[in-house]
Parts: sequence; structure tokens; C-alpha cells
Amino acid sequence: MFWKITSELLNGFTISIFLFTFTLLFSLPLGLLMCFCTMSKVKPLSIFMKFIVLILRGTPLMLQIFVIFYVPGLLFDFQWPMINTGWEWFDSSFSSRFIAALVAFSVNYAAYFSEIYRGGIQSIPQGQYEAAEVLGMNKRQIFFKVILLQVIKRIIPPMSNEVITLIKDTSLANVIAVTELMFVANLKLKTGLIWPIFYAGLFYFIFNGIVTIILSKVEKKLSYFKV
Amino acid sequence: MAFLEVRNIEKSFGKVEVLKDVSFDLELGEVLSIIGSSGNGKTTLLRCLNYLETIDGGAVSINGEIILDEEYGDRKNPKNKKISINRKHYGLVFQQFNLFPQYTALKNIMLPLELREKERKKKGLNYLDNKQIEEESLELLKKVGLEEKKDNYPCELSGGQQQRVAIARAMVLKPDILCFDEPTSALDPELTGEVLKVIKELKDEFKITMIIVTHEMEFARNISDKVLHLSKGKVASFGTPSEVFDNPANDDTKQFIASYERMKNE
Ligand SMILES: Nc1ncnc2c1ncn2[C@@H]1O[C@H](COP(=O)(O)OP(=O)(O)OP(=O)(O)O)[C@@H](O)[C@H]1O
Ligand SMILES: [Mg+2]
Repeated sequence: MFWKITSELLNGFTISIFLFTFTLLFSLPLGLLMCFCTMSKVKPLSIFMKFIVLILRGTPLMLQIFVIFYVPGLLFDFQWPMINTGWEWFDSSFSSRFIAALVAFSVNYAAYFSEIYRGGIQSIPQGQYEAAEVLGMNKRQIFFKVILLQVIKRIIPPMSNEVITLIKDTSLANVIAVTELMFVANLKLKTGLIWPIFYAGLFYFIFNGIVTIILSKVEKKLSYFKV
Repeated sequence: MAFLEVRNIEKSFGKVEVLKDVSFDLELGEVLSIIGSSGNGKTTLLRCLNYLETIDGGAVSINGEIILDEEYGDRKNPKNKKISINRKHYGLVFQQFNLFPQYTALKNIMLPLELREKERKKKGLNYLDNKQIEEESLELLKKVGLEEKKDNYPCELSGGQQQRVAIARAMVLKPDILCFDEPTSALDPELTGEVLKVIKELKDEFKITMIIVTHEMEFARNISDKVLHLSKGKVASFGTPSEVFDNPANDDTKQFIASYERMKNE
């Protein structure tokens, strides 16, 4: 009984980690793109992107998950694709739910990340750009050789907060029946079994701990200089 | 024809005229100090020369070749592309040092040279290899007396040391003219001496042409071949230190020197 439920929870947990990892993989670069758009000199583009970011940050993630999963189908008869991976815990009818959740998470987190990037880039003093410029560097060299690492150092603490939040937020995917950890634990609860939900909490807690340690390692790595 | 000729520079920020008809000459190896009270356009003048601001009028030439005129500011003008070429005439030392915090003292100096040599290599020109780059940079660090700090990061250096590294960095691309914007005014009083000493050595030993914006009057008098007093965006006086400090013809300069003397005696 214990081992059976453990294995069921582990299956759910694998999906949670998948969601977490792929969300980061997509939202980190997407956020940078959104950040460049909001900072663009092309006014309509920057206003449009600022508006999008405002909406994404100003409405609940759960609402966005519902919208992204249901609305395309209701309005345009669009179905999120079903992918046949051949994995038994990831059947093709499930994949459309997973992809919808992934899209919602990625876009939502990209909006948060874009604001963090923007804050980071804008916090670098003008003097750094000017010093690099008078030393003959071009725009690309200035960004990659001078600015980027300083920005990374500055944004790691707020980014860490978001990443930790994301671990816990993956549980929201259960609202469209993505069979992640929370969904599995909830099923057990409905059958009258209480302890699996605490057990699931332990999974989140331990994963959180691991990620926190990794992030603080990165932070420490960059502590040799001050910005 | 003088080495550096600055002619009728005009610069406004919106409706505010900050530089009005600024002209002066400088010969190779000469040191020019620019003095004047706060808000009179000293920094703006240096920034215009260094292409950090676009001028509204006037021109600058080195050895008779125009390196800046009003067309340089227009981004659509092909001359704008020449900025990156003409920039190499100048090195600039900032009031706030502006060292790159993630690099060691030595690497701060090496980086601009590394990037330039990489470009040269790409273009098939002769270039310095990494070892030569490091040697040249270390040589500069020696000149400012900080060889033993080569592996220290800026946050591990005092303000005076940071500024000396910044001076070495400004020289690494071998500019014709080294510009300083109040190099000591962000420093604690006890640290200004070491920076001024380094600047003096650059003049005495290496005959580097320099333009120094400064509030250190004694220093300006001692080091300069020429002094320029900028008042309300205009050249109030321009001449040798004794012409400007001892018998200024201009009333604004008289007043400025007098108020400085008063402050010193208090
Ligand atoms: N980017 C800018 N936009 C608008 N006004 C500016 C700008 N930069 C400078 N000014 C104005 O131009 C005038 C000259 O400024 P500048 O910094 O050149 O003076 P300064 O002689 O260097 O003064 P200080 O001794 O305080 O450094 C000031 O009135 C300043 O407010
Ligand atoms: Mg100034």
C-alpha cells in the first residue's frame, strides 16, 4: 500500500518537475525577449508589451490556465496537440492538458521575469556603458562583456524567489486535470486517505530545499565582486 | 596649425545653452586644465569631445583633420560611423572611476585591448597575442604603481587605487589625448595626493597630452601649460597659468580666482 502510493505520487511528482523544468526553459528566454520589447524605442511595441505584462501579472495564474486550455477550443475550434511519447504515464490525451498548462506557466512566468530583467538592466549605472563606450566597445560587446554578469548578479535574489514560487505554483495545473503531484494526492484524499497529502507536501518541501541550495550556490559564486 | 584645434563648440540641452562658442588650441604634449565653478559646462565640454554628447555646432580637428563637427551627431549621416574610429584619439577618466566590478584590476585594463586585437585579427591585420596584451597591461599598472594589486577586484581597492587603475585603463589603447573629469573629487582628501602624483608623472615622464577638468587650483597651476576658465558656458580666459591665475583680464575670472583665494585663506 505504502509503496504503491509512493510510486503513484512519484509519477505525479515527475510531471510536476517536468512542468517546472520546461516552464523555466521557455520562460527565461521569453522573459528576456519581452523585456527587450518593453524597453524598445519602438513606442507601439513597448506599449503593447507593457500592456501584456500588466495583464499577465494582474490576473490570477489559475484564470490564465483556464483561459489558455478552454478558450481556443471554444472560440476557434483549436485543440492543444496530442503527442504520442510512448510513455505510459504521459498518454497522448493527457499531453494536450500538459501543453496548455505549460504554455500558461511559461507566459505567466516570462512576464514576471521580464520585469526582473528590466529592473536589473536599468539598475546598472550609465557610467558603465559610457566607460565601455569610450574604450571602443560596440553595443554587443558592452552588453555581453560588461553589463550581463552585473545584471545576473543583481537579479539572482528576486529570480530565486520566483523560481521557488514556481515549484509551488505547479500544483495549480491540477485544475485542468494535469496529473501532477497535487492532483494525485487530492485523488487519495477523496478516497478518504489523509496521509498522502502530507507525504506530497514533503516532496515539495524537499525539492524546494534542493533548488534553494543550488540557487544560493550560484549566488555565492558571484559574491567575489560587488555591483 | 595646432595639434588639437577646438573651434566654436555649441551645445544646448533643450532651451538651455550650456556651451557657447568654445574655442581653444592645444599643442602635442601640453597639459590643459579647465577650471570654473559648478554648472558652467566643464563636464559637458569633455563629454562633447568624447562623443558622449552630440554637439550643435563647431568642429574639432587633430593635426588638421576634422574629427568632430555637427554632422557627427546625426545618426543617419555616414560620418556617424566614424565616431568609433575617431574615439581612439581620446582616453577618458571619469569622476566615479567606472571600473568594471566583475574584473580584476589587470583584466579591467586588458579587456579593451583584447577586444580591439580580436577585431584586428578578424580583419587579418597584425595583432597582439594574449601574452603581449597582458604584458602591456601590466606595464601600465606598474606606471600607476599598482602592480601588486593586479589580481584584486575593484571592490577590494581604495578609491585612489581604483582611480589609478582607471587611468591605466584609459591609456591602454594609446590615445593621443587623455581627458580627466574631476579625477579626485569623488575621493577622500587624503587619497587625492596619490592620484595627482600619478597624473604629474604621466606628464613628466611620458609627455602625454592631457585635458584635466579640476577644482584643485594649486595642482592646475603647477601641472598645466594652459588653463581655460569656463564661465557660463563661455571661455572667459585661456592662457598660461600665470596669465589666468595672476593677472586675469576677464572680470569673471578675476572674481572666480578671488573667491578661490578667499576660500583658501579662511
Ligand atoms: N543631460 C543633461 N540634460 C540637461 N541638462 C544638462 C545635462 N547635462 C548637463 N546639463 C546642464 O548643463 C549645465 C552644465 O553642466 P556640467 O555638468 O557640464 O557642469 P560642470 O561645469 O561640469 O559642473 P560641476 O563642477 O558641478 O561638475 C548645468 O546647468 C547642467 O544642469
Ligand atoms: Mg562636472
